[in-house]
Amino acid sequence: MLITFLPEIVLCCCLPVLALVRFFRTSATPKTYFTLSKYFMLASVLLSIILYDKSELPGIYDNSRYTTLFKCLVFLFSFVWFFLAYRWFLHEERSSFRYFMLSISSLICLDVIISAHNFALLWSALALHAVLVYFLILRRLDDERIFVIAHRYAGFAAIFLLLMAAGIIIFYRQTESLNYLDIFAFLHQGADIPRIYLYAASMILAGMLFFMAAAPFHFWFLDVVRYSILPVGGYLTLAPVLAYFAAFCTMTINVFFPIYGHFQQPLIIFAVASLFFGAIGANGEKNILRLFAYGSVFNVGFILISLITFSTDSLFSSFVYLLVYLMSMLGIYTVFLGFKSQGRYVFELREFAGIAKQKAYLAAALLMFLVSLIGSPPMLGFLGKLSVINNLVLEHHFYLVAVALLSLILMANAYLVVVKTVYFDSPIMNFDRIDKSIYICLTLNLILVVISLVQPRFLMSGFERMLIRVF
Amino acid sequence: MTNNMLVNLFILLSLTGGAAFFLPKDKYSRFFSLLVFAGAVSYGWLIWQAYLSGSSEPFVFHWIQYKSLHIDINLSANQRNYLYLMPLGIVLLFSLFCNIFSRQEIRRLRLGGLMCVNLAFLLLLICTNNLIILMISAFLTSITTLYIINDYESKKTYIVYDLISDMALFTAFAIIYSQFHQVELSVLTKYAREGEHIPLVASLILLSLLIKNGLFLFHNQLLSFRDLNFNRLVFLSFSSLPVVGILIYEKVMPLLSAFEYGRLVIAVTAGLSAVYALGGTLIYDDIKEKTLCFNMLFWAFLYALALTVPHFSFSAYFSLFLLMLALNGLIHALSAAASDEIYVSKTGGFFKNLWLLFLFFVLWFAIFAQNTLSLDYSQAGARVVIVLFVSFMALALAHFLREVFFGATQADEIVSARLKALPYADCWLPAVLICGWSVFPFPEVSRTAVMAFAVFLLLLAIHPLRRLSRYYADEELQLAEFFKRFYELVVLTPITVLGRILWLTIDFVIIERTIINSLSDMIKFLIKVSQKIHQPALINYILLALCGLGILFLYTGR
Amino acid sequence: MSSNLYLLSVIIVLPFLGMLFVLAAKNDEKTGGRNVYNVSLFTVIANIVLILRMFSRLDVKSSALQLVERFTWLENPRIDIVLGVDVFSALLLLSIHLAFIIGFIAVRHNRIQQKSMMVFALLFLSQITGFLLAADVFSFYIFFEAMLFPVFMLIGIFGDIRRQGIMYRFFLYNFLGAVVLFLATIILYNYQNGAVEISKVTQLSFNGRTEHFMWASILISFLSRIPIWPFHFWIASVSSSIKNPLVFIIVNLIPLTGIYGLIRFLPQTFPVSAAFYITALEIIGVVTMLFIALIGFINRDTQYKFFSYITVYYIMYMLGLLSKNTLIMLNVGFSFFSYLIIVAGLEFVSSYVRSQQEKLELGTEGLLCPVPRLAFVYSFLVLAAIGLPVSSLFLNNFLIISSLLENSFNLGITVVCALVLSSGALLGDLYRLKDSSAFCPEKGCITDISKPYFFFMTFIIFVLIASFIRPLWFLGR
Repeated sequence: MLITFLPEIVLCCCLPVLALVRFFRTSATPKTYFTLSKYFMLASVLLSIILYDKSELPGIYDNSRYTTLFKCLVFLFSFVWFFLAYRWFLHEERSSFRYFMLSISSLICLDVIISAHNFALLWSALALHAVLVYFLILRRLDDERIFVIAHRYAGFAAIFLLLMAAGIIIFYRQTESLNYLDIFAFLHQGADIPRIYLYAASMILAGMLFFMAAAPFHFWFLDVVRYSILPVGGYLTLAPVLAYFAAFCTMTINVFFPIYGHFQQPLIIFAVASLFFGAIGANGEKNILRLFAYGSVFNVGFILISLITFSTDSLFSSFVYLLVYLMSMLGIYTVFLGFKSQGRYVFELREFAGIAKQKAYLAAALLMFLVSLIGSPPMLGFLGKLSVINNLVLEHHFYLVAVALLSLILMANAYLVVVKTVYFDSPIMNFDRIDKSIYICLTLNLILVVISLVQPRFLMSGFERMLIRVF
Repeated sequence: MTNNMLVNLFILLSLTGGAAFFLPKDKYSRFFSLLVFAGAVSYGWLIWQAYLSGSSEPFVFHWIQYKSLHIDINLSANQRNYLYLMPLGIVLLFSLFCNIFSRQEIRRLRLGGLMCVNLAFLLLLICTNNLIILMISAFLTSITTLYIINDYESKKTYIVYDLISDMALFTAFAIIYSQFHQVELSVLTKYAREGEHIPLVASLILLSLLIKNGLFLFHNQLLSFRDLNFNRLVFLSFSSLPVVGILIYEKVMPLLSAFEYGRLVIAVTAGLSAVYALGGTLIYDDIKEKTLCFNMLFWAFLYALALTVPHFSFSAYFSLFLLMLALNGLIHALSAAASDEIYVSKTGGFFKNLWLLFLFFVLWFAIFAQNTLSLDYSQAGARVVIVLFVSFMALALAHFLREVFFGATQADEIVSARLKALPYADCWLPAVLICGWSVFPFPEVSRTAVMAFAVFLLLLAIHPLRRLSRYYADEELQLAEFFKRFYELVVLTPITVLGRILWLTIDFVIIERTIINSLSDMIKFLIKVSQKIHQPALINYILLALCGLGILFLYTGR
Repeated sequence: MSSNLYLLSVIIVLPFLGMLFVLAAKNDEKTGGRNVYNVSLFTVIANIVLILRMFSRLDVKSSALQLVERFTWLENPRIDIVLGVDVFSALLLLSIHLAFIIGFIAVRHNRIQQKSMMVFALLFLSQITGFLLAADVFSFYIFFEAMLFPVFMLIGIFGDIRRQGIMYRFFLYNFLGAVVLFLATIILYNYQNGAVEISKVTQLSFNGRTEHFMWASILISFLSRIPIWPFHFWIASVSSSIKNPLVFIIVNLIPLTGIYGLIRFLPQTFPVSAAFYITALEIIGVVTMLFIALIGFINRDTQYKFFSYITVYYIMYMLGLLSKNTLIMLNVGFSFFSYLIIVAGLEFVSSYVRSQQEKLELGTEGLLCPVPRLAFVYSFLVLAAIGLPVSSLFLNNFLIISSLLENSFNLGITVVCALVLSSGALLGDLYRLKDSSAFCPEKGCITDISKPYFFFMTFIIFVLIASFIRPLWFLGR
């Protein structure tokens, strides 16, 4: 039992340590919190790797190569982002105690979400994570609207959690178990499944889609990213999606696969809706955070469209896409941290005008990540696009290919507006000096991108074998 | 150097042209020009010797040897090629000689070089038995002509006509090649027998030839040479496009004869050209323009004559060709003597000072009449053509000479004061030499020639068309460019209008305003819808969520 | 492979390395941009040396891909990057590099955004080189799409700032084409259970709907690059708004990629299902050709006239290629050699005239009157451009037009009409510049090109004349 949850327990230990520091050290700086979080995260991830297949609660909480892969990635992205976030807090001269407390707690929840093989556990982790996100959203202090956004998020999260709970209870009444395996066995019995269970499954899936911010349940995500402080927006864009994706795949493959045929059609609709909502929304957006939030919705659509058959290939292709997209998004959020004028972070597109003339390196990095997001070779995004489209062609979903590519063109148009503004418009403001850490992160990210591009085997090596463990 | 005189000549001419281009522009240009001339004379002498000795040296350079495309450059030194080269060589020597002394010429060395290169290309044309080389030599001659023309307006006019002419020839030969995949000239006979689209191909070739020879409807380019100095004008009239035209005509005759309307087209064009040229010689005030009209009369006559003889050969008319060159030389001498005066209306009464030159003119006509009328005119048609030609020349020349030598003195004082009997040897000497050469060996004087000469003298005496002199003052007529306006109206305006309409309709209305704007509007509309949906109102979110749930339940419930 | 010394890879990578050097080069007022310029020029010259070395290792009589290099890139899906070269692509490569040299010389004194210009130009060069050396469909596609990005940036930086819409048009038109090609590539890949060598694409046969789909995809993707109606719109807008000669040359290399794609992808013998597409393509092509030629004829903008000329020739090459005749294909290859050099040369001289004109605020008429060196070069290039026998264009055009006439007489005649119009447009423009009646020395005269420039252009003229003297040297006997 202890071994099963050891990585999470280590992370849990981080929380009182952080609290202690808060109590006993008056001059607690963001660096201290980050340093502490860093070591605990490192320990946690090492333990996750060492104990990658140790699980004493096999039906409830499963540790496998699959979960370890996602946990490592969540930790990796979180770690980089926490580093940048601490620099943000440092510059803003704000306390990062609550941020790190909430984020570390969130990481614990995400760990549980990834490994959960039991609906009660999953639901609890999701609910707790929603609460944590609610508080994370409230970290913004200078805008009254944040309360409305946070409350709305909390309200909708509660509704979808209730829906999920209802669905779970329906299954529980039949199987008297909330373990994935038992419900799978029930659904796999061969006889016609009563419609009530299909609705119950729908409720659970709806909840997952809500948290993944798939259209038309994406509305909360746009506002949350737009109005939260940058460290929160970045974190919510980068880390949870990996865990939700892992959980969604685990659940669909290990529980609902026998009745998946019923959900394929709506899933396609949601995927297509995400693609078009994302692409069209981004085209009309003037706020850069919201624009990329739409971009995230679009990417979720791309991932869903690739996932629709839930075969090994589709899982792998969507995973590659997700990974590539997150690497680009990490780069883009890093770039955002550098766009500061007179001590204020700028997020309105028009304020980015001609930034290339002042911050050439930053602009170049943004450009490369944008090209990557468009999926154009030679950038890494091409690998993701290739992976998804190849899979769709393999599965003969030609109309989906057409839809995906059409929406990609629309999305490209939105990104081109950003490129145009950054490179070709005349500057309207002077930008502040950039923190060296941003350059370091960007350079590392770009090096990783180049390595992945030249030798994608380094990036992909073993991933496929780890992913098939979900089946 | 090789044993083949023509190859040597080709190389020498090309090298001379190249050297002239790189030598200093102004320094010692007269001396260098003299050197070029001397070299040309000496080599001309060697060629003359080779011609007389009847030596023959084959030379074929296999330029392109691909399985479906063989192109050979033939420069075989045989009697025929020597014969054809001779008159063109004389034109070159004539022009090079004039070039040494020309006062108006500021780029004489470069001009000399271009003249040499021009002859090299003509040599290729003479020797070729291949469509591609024929085209190449014709086009390269076009290029040298372009560089020889040093007046902007002339150049502009020339290039338009020449482009059409060259493209017509190019297209015609491309059509022939597309059907037989052969480039030897013998394919023309085959094409005339078995080919498709003969009327089009023949028309294209005819168009090209008529343009090159500057015949009626296409005479603007030839007449535009009036803005060049005399030396360039004479050289271009006798060693450039018209010669290229007639040489090509000789080579493509088998094909043209297969075109049923070909003869009619040539006959009508030649007839109209002759009438127009006669009108020009009588009405135009500009001496250069008159000279060009004399030349046009000659080319029209040659084409008309080509229709009447069974086997046309340019070589049969070489003496006439050179006589026309001599006439140009004499007119040049006249103009030079009158301080380069170029308007007839500003001459008159020159006989007193230029009586010797007048005598040369009269003598020229006598030789001309004798040579022309002694041509073989066994065919009735040929007889008519020759008689008409001599009559036209007599009328035109008599009119011209009467006005210049015996008309009322209208020259300004300076011109009158500087009139000299035989001013510049460069202008008259070669002309006289040519005339002398034309009568050697002295033939038996024909009665008709004597009659023609008498008529000429009569015309000179009575000056029947004296009333036409009043048109010299008619500026509208002198400067009018009817045909330029005609082409602008008939060809350029429709193209321009069509282009504008297409631009406006297809580019602007259909693509910009319809396709692109529709797409752009559609995207804008979608964006607006999306913005409406995503407005931060709770109801929107609820509706979206319900919509999503609705879809989910709807499909799972089915 | 070791005997090849990875020559092709080096040829692709060298401009990229050059780009990195340019990025690192100091570009302050002291250096005056010389570092950046010299590094760029040196890179291209070095690559030309490598290309000539490649030529020396090439069997010019063979039509097969040679010096093949293979690298495994991805394992799932299995994608190998295969590089290879034949005479056709080698010729194109050489001419593109020469065109680049001309472009570089033309922008030698251009200090505005020089670093960006050189960076993106070298990046583009690297990618178009990769595109021409790609020997499998995946590599082909990767370079096909990748080259859009530097061109987009160049258009954005050097295009007319008031007309930024054209950038989007450019990118989206071409991106659409690239996306369609991507799809076709994936289908080809899955159809063959692995990457397809580019030399084998033309021999593949498909069934039913796949065949139609493949045809439609391939044609749309390549046509999006060729200025054929309605795709011509982007390149027309871009061409008339670009005043930088190097960028103009680069933009006008984009249609070349479309033509090259068609050459590589069109099958040896057209299947029945393709007949409709081919006929439609011929009709649209020839109508566009005439249409653009007409507009070029009436338009007074020199850049548009060049665009019109370029378009007419590109479409003529495209129509020539549809004849699928080996001789014609090689002709197109060698014709491209002269054609690209001529276009680059023309853009060089016209941009020089334009810059002088703008500097002195003069009209266009008579500008060439006081500048004999420039006038000579300009005139020669125009004469070469219209197909007179001073470059290989003459004989190449003759054979291509013969082939067109052989296939379809009406089509061939229309092509000739378009050629006449576009040639007329170029000549008209030249003689406007040479209009001595409008030349007024009091207003000020433009400066003639310097002697080094003149000698360089004389060298280019020499290359063109050499191409005329041996126009089909690479053909077997």
